[in-house]
Order: sequence, then C-alpha cells, then structure tokens
Amino acid sequence: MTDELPIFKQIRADIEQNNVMLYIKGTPEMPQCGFSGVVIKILKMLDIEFKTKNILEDPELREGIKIFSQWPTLPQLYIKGEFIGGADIVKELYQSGELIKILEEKEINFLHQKN
Amino acid sequence: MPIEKNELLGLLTPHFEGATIEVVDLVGDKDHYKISIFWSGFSGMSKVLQHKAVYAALGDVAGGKLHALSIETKLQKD
Repeated sequence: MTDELPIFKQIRADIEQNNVMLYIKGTPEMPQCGFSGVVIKILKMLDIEFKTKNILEDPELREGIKIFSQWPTLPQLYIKGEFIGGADIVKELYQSGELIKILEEKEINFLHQKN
Repeated sequence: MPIEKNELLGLLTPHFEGATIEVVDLVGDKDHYKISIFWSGFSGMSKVLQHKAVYAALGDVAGGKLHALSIETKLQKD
C-alpha cells in the first residue's frame, strides 16, 4: 500500500461526505481543461448533484490525489467513495449506459432525459 | 512537452504482447495523443485496471510530460 500522505485524510473526507465527488482543473463554470469539461457536461446532463475541487488551487491535493488513486491524471470521479475513472472512462460508461447502472446500484439521484 | 510517436510505441509494445496498438497525434504538435490498444490480455480486467496498465507502461509520460492523452482499451478491434 502506498505510504500515507497528510492530504489523504482530506481526500477520504471529500469522497466519503460527497456521494459524487469530482476533482478537476478549474470549476464547473470555468473548466480549465477539456477532459474536466467532458465529465462536468455528463454529470450536468444527468442532473446529478456533485461536488468539485479545483486542484489548480491546491498543489498538495494535485499531487496527493494521483498517489491516492494510483491514477496520474485529472479529472478524477468518485461515486460513493469509489474511484470510477477519468474522462475517457466516464465518457465510455455514459455512452454504453453503464454509468446509469452504476448510479442506480449506488442509489444516486439522476435524471435521464431521453434525447 | 512534445514526445515522438515512436517513443510512445516503444514504451507500450513490450507491455502488451501481440496487441494492436494505435497512436494518433490529435493536434499535430506531438503533445496531444490518443492511444488505442486492442489486446486479448485485457479480458477480465476492469476498465480502470486496463487504463492503469497503460499508464504503468507509459511511466511519467502520462502524468506529467504529455499535455493531453486519451486512452481507449478494448479486447479486440470492432
């Protein structure tokens, strides 16, 4: 197991206290990276309530989250404390309908407009 | 930081024996790549683990050097 970093305590609190937790570059209103924007758009399309943290404002979090999840890039999406993936995986899960199943399994409220 | 396509292929090939690996320079600046790997060895692995295997093969190229990297993993090409 990776050695414990002080920031892990904060990360655990984030992902345990927020059903849907998204670490991004920027904010939902102003994503600073296309990949972060992709995940934000999907969560908004599904009308999911989610919390974000802007890793650009916190260098310690920016590095710590990559070690915590053993995932070297941002964004990072967590649902009920479980790491779901980055932009590629979340997009794939959404397109295949798998994301809806995960949301249902984890009892997350969402609205699926049939477009 | 730009990186040569062949360097990416060189990093990936040893880790995915017999896979079909496609590396696309999305923007033409050697800094925005899409990597697609079609490999039977992924079977039974979750998507997260499949992508982690790609990240492991790429080392610090994925986390820091490259500006943007999109990854696609499948058991075989459709």
